[in-house]
Amino acid sequence: MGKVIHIDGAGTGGSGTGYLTVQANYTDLITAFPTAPTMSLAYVQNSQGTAWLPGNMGGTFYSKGTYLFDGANWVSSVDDIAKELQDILDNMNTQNLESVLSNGIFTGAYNISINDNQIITASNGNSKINLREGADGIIKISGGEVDANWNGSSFEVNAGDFLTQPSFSRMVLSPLVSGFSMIKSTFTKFGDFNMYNNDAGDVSGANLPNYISSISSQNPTIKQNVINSTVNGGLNVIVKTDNTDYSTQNGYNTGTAGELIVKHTPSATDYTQTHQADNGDIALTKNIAISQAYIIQTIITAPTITSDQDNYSPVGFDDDTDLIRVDIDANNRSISGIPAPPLGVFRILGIKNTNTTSLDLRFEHNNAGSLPQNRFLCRDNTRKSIKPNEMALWFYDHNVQRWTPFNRIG
Amino acid sequence: MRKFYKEDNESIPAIVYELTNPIGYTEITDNSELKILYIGLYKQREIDGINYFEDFRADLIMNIMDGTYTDLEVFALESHIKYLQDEIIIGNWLTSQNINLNLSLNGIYDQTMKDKIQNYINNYIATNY
Repeated sequence: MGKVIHIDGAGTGGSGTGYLTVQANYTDLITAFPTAPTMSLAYVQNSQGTAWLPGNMGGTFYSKGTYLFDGANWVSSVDDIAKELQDILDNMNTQNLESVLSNGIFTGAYNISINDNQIITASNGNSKINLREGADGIIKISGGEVDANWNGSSFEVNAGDFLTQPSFSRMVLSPLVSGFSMIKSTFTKFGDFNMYNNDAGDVSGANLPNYISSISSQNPTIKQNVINSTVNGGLNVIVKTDNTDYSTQNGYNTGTAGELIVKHTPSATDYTQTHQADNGDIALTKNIAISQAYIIQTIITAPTITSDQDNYSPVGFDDDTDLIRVDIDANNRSISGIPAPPLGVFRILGIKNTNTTSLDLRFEHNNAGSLPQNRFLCRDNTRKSIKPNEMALWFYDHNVQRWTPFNRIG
Repeated sequence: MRKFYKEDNESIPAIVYELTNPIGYTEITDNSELKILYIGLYKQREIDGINYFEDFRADLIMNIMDGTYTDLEVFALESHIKYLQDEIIIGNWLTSQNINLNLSLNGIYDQTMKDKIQNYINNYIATNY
């Protein structure tokens, strides 16, 4: 079927049919349309026949131009109509109709649709698809792609606009894309939000001009790979070390004013940092080494000492004991040693003299009464005593396998 | 007389001050090491002497309070036993033993008090020397 040309206003008067067809020559016209509705118009692109040979000599000539079907034949002898219409056509660029999408012209209520494998392309680097301000401009893509794949291109969603995902299958920003800018905009949901850099097929990050309140995910694990990045939410944060950049700090928004920033020394290997669970528990995957600190959680009150003690392990004493409160019945009742903690376990143990008179509790220096690893090493290499209400703090030094003073004792 | 002995086969050996050589110990004969040990030993004896003096003095005060002695009698006692007191509080128990043994009776420093002091000193020496 040939091209159909619509002219504004065509068909508003008379037959209202407009141009029915465009044919290459007269023969094609009568072949394609031997009949047509009366007053139908057609356009013939090329003349046909010999113009100078009279008809009584076998010559026939059909001019190019507009033809009118008069009810029986296609005729071009309706000069007024044909001439008028021909004038219109002559002043029109039938091959390059002005786009209905040009500035100030719009299609109104009609959609623009393209067929499979068709592309709306821009002819130069400054081309844009503009959705006019104030209008409900939406680029809706169902099952397709928004492709920005040339250097310097960008996909912009400006203030007050939205990038919605309901039908988004994928947004691909290829390696040469300079950036993905979202200026004060909001996006509700993304299945996957991936940004790839030139270096590796790994997430490089979402760079928003304003602070990120949260990054949430149905997946409890959030992976981050950029130095000085922050992430909120999630249960586990995997800190990657397979790139030169890696996370050095994690930030938490506690829901109240202020933040708790936890910095850690980068690890040589990947590890998982577990954060606070719903019940408030924080599961630590490694021990926390605290220097110059003594935390008292477990206190026992031991039976009154009535004789000198070796390898002292009163009732209730165990690996969790932080402080032993003990009374004595005579001055300078002595303790020569206390069971040592296991190898690798750091421990500070307090022993408090709870006597209410004036009796001293004595600690023997490196005394053979206790097993070597249970002994005390005292200041001046001699026994030391603590008076009532004093507390001796002992730190177990695995280097020498002895209890050593954590505070001044005696 | 006690001597210093060092525990055998131990990286941080225990050191004991005993009358006889315990099993698993070796007598320390190095003079420089011994000197350090004796300094430490006498520091402890000094502490013990101070503790004994403070205990003795507190008893005197209580005796004044309950009327057993008058303050003048206690003042006189302090003058009489001053030399003994000075030796005890610096840990010279052997010297103190000798001083008290030869100290004459005077005022409230009667035979009972003298024997009591002597017994304490003798017992300390027997336990620690």
